[in-house]
Amino acid sequence: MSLKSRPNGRVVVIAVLGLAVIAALFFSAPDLASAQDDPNIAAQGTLKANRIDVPNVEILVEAVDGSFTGSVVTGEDGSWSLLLPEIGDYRATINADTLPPGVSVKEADGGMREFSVSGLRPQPVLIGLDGAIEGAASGTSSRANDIEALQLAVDGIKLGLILGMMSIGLSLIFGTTGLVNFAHGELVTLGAMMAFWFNRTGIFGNTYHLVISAIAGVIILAGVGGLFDAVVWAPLRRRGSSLISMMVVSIGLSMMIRFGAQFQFGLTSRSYRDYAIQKAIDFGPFALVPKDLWIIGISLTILIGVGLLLQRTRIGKAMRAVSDNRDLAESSGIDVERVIRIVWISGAALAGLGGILNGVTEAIAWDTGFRFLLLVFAATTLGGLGTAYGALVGSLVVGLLIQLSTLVIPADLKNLGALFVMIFILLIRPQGLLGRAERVG
Amino acid sequence: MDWGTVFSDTLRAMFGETAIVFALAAIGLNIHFGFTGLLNFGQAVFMAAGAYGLALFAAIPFTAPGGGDQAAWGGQPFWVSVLIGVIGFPVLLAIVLGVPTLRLRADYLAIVTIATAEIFRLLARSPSFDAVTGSSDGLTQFARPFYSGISCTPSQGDCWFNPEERYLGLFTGNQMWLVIVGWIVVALVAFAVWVLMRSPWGRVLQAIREDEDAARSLGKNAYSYKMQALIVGGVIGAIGGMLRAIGTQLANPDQFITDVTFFAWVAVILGGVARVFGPILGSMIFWAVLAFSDSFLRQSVKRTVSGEELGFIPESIMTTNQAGLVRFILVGAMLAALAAFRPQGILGDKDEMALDDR
Amino acid sequence: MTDSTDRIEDVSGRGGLPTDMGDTSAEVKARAKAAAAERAESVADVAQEPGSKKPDPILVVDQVSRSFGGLKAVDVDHLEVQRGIITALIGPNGAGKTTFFNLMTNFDTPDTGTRQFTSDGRSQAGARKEYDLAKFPAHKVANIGMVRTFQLTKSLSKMTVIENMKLGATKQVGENFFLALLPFIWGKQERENEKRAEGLLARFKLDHMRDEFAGTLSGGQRKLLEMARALMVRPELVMLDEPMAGVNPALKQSLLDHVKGLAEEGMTVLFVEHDMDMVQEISDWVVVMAEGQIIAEGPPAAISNNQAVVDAYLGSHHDSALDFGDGAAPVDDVEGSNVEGSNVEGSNVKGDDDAMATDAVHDVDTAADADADEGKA
Repeated sequence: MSLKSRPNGRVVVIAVLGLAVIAALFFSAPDLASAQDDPNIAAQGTLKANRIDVPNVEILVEAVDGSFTGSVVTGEDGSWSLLLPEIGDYRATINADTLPPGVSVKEADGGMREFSVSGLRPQPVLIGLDGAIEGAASGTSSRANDIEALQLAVDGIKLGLILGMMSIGLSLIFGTTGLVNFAHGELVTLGAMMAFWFNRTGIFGNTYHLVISAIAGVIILAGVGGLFDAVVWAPLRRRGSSLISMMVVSIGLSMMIRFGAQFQFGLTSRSYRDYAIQKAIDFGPFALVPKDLWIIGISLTILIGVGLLLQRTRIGKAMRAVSDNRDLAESSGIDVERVIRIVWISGAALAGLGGILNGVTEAIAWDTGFRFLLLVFAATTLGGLGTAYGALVGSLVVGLLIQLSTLVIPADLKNLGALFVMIFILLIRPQGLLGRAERVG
Repeated sequence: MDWGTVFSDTLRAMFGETAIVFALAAIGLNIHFGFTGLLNFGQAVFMAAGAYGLALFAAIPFTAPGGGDQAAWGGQPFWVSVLIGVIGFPVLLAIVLGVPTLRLRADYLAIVTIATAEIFRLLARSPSFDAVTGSSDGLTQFARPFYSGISCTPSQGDCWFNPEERYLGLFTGNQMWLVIVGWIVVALVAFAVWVLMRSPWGRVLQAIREDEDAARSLGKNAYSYKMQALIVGGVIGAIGGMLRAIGTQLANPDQFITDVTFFAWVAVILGGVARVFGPILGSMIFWAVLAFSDSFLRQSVKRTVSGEELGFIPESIMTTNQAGLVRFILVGAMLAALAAFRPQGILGDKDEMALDDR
Repeated sequence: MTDSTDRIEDVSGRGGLPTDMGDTSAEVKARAKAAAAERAESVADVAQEPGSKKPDPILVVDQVSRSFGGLKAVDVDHLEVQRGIITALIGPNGAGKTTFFNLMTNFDTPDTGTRQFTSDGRSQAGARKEYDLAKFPAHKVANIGMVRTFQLTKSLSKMTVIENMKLGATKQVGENFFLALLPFIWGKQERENEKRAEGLLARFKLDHMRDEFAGTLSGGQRKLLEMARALMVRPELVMLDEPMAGVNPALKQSLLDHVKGLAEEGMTVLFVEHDMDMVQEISDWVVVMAEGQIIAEGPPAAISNNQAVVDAYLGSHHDSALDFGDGAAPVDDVEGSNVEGSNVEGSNVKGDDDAMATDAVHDVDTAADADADEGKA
C-alpha cells in the first residue's frame, strides 16, 4: 500500500541468504534415512481381546522382503517384544492355533499387521482380537470404560494443544490476509524435520540435544515464515492477485515442500533421539509418560503466552485490529504489512513448534503436516475462521473428539468425527463457534 | 541416455489412459471453477464415485481378506454398473455436497469438498468396511466385460486387439482399446461442453461466476444453476475416475488421494481457465512434462545395469527413487508459478477469463 | 427498426415496448411533456404526508423493519408506490434506502412486515394479480415483473455487451440444461432475444459496443447497459439504485431521458438518488427517508421546501463531515453524499484492471467536480 509498508530490502536479502545457506546444508546433508547404530530396532505390543490381556499367543514376525523371520510368545500381561535386524517393513501375524478358546483374530485384518520399523524406538504394533477369553470377567465394565475415557480425554487435550499451535497461525493469516494457506501443514513438517536434522542427522558433524534442536527448528521456521511472506505473499498482495490465485499458489508450495521433504527424508517415519522411550507415570485413572506432561506444559504455556500477547501488547492488538477490519486498521495508522509479516513469522514458528512437539510423541514423516492440515482446517472453522481464540477452542474440541471417538468407532476412522463435525458446523453456524454472524453467506 | 525410451514414455503419458482420465477430471473441474466459479477441491472424490460405482456393482462377488462374503449387490451387468457409476453415485454426491454449501461463501465449498475426499479415503481404506470396499486393496474383477470380445488373443476367436501385441509401439491391445474409447469419450464430452457453454444455460453459469447477485436480479435461480454445474462437472469427473478403474482394472483408495485433485487443477490452469479445450491440452501437457522429467531423470541417475555403468548424476545428489519425486516438486512449482504469474493459463486470454476473476 | 422490434413483440404475444426512434425531437419533446403532465395528474390528489394512499399502487409496504445488530436500518410503517409514475426515494446517507431496495427484492429478508406487488398483467401473461413478495425469492421477483439495478454497477465485465443483454431475457428455453444441449430447440428464441437486445442497445446508444466486453465500457455506459439489460426482463416496476452515481456529466442527461422514457412506456420507476436537481427534473413523486423511516412524501416542488427534509439533510451534513474528516471538504450536503457513493464504487473496481479502475475513478472525479461547479453557478 504505502511506501512505509515495503519490507526492508536489506533484511530480506540477509534472510534469503541465510535460509539459502540452511537449505543448501539441509539438502547436502547425507540422506536423512541412513540408519545409525541404535539399540531400538524392535517391535513390541500388547495383545488384548475386549480389553483383557491375552497371554501365551505366538506372533510371527517376518520382513516383507522375506529377509527375516522370527517369532515371539506373549507374556502373562499380553505384552511381547522382538528385536529385529534392521529398519524396514515387517509383517506380524498371529498364530491362530495358539489363541485361547473364545478369542479369534479380527476378520478385518486376519490377525495380520504390517508395520515399519524406524530404528529409533521399539515400534508399537497393535493387532486386534475379537471375542473374550472364556471364563474371564467381561471387559467392558462401566468402570473400565470410564477409566479409558479419562485416559483418552487426557490424550485428546494433548492433541488439541498441539493442534492449537498449528491452528493459531492459520487462523491469524486468514484473518489478516484472507488467505486459506494450504501450505500450512508443510510448516509443521518443516519444523519437525529441522529439529530432526539437528537432533539426529547432525550438522557440522555434531548432533544436538532435542531441546537445542527444537529451539533451532523454531527459529528457522520463524525465518521461513517471514521469508515466505517477503518473497511470495507480499509481492502477490502488491500485484493485487486474487485470493483464489494465492490459494492455488499455496497448494503449489505445499506440493513442492511435501515432495521435497519426501525426497530428503524418504518414506519411513522416524523419531527424535531423545525421550524416545519413557516409563509411564501412573496417575490412577490415567497414565502419562513424562514427555506428555512436558508437551502439555509447554504448549499450554506458549498458548497462554500468545493469548496474553494478543490481548495486552501493541502488536497483538494490532494483529486483532487488522483481522477485524483491515481498512479501518490501516486508516488508523497501523502498518498493516508489518503486522502481516509478524503474523507469518509467529504463525510459522508456532506451526513448527507444533510439528516438533508432535514428533516427540509420534514419529515424523514426510507428510505429517499434510495429514494435520484438514484437522487444522476443522479446528479453525469450528472456532470461526480468523479468530485466534476460536482456533484454540476449536483445536481442543477437535483433539478431544478425535480421541474420545475411538470409544465407539475403530481407531483408524478416528479423524472422521472431526471432519464430520467441521462440515456440520459449517452448515449450521458458518461463522464458527466464536465467530460473528456478519460477513457470511 | 536412451532418448527413444524417454520419448516413448512421454508420448505414452501424453496420449495414454492417465491423460484421458485427467482430461475428463479437468473438464469437470473447469465447469465447476472455470465456468461457474465453484471452488471444488475434492474432484478426486467424484472420480472415486465413478470408479467405485462401477466396481462395487460390477465386481464378481468376492471373499474379503478377513473372511466374510461381499454383499449381494455385486455381479451386476456391466452397463448397469456403468450407469450407477456415471449417474447414480456422482449425482448423489453432488447433491449431498451442494445442498448445504452452495448458499455459503465460495471457500466453504472448498473446505467441505476437500474434507469429503478425505472422509471417503478413510472410509474406503478402513478394514471395518472390508467386505464392501476391499479396504486398501480395493476392488478388482469388474473390468473384464469392457475388454472381452474386443481385445483378446487370436486363438480365442475374432478380436480387434491382441493383448500380446504392441500398437504404435506404445500400447498393449487392452491399452489401445481403452485409449481409443477414452479419447472418443473425451471428444464427445468436450463437444457437449462446447455446445453447453454457447447456450443460454452456459451464459447463466458465466453470469453467476462473475456476479451471483446480478444473475439473481435478472431472474436466474443461482442456487439451482450452481447445483446443476456441480452435478455436471462431477459426472464428467466420475467418467474419468471410471476409465481409470477400467484401465488399471482396480478401484482402490490410493488412486484418489487429494493430490489427484491438485493435478486436475494444474491441468485446468495450465490449459486456461474457462476454455473448453484448455483442460484437455492442459492434461496432455501436464502428463507429458511429468513423464519426460521422470524418464529423463531416471535415465540420468548413475546406476549399474547388468555390469554396465549408466547415467551421470551421482547417487549423492539423487537416487533413482528420489528422481521419481522431482517431477512432483516440479508440479508444485508449476502450479504456484502459473497461479502467480499467468492466472489465465498458457492458452488463456486475460481479458476473457483468468483464475483471478473470483 | 421500429417495425422489426414491434413484430418481435407481437411474436412473443405480450405488450410491446414502443421503441420509436424515428420521430423528430420536437414531437418527442411534446409527447414527453404531455406524458409527464399525465403522470403528475395521477398523483395530484394524493395527500402529501408519509404513508399516504395512492389511487393505483403497484407496491404496498406495511410495517417492514430490518435491524442489524442494535441498529434499525429500515422501519417503514406504510408506503405505497403509484403505478406508472417516476418515484424518487431520497434521503441522507445511511437512511436505509439501499436496504429498503434489498428488502423489496428479497436480496435481504425483513424482520417484520408485508410487501405486496400488484401486477397489471402487462409483463406476464394474464390479468391483474397480487403477489405477496415474502413468497418470492430474489430470482423469482424478476419473473413477476420487478427488476432492480445496483448502486455498484453489476455489469458482467467478462461477458460481451450483447451476452449481458441476452442474459436478461426471461423464460429462455435454452436455460434448461437438457434443452441447452439441443441448439435447434432454443435457436429461434435466442435469435428473437438477440434482435430485441439489439433494438434496446440501439435505443441506449450502445449498439457500437455490441461485441465488446462489458469491462471495457465507461462507468456511465455500464449504468446504461445495466438499465437496458433490466428492460430485457420486461419489467413493470424498475428499481434503480443511484443510476447517476459515477456517471460522466455528458452522459447524465441521456440517462435522465432514458429514465423518463421508461415511464412513457408505462413502466413504473422507483429510483434512489442523492442529487436534488435530478430528482426535481425527472420525478413525479418524492419519498424521503431518514434513519430508516419515511419522513415525507410529495411532489418534488413541495419536498424541497419541507422543513423535515431540510433538517434531515442538514443532520446528514454534519455526520458526513465527521465521517470524512480529512479528505472530502463538504461542498454542500448533496455533493458530500454523492462523493461517498462514488468512493465506494472506486474501491470496488480495485480488483479489475488498473486501467479500468483509474478510468472509473476519473469518471467519478469529473462527475463530482461538475456537480460542484453547478452548485456554485
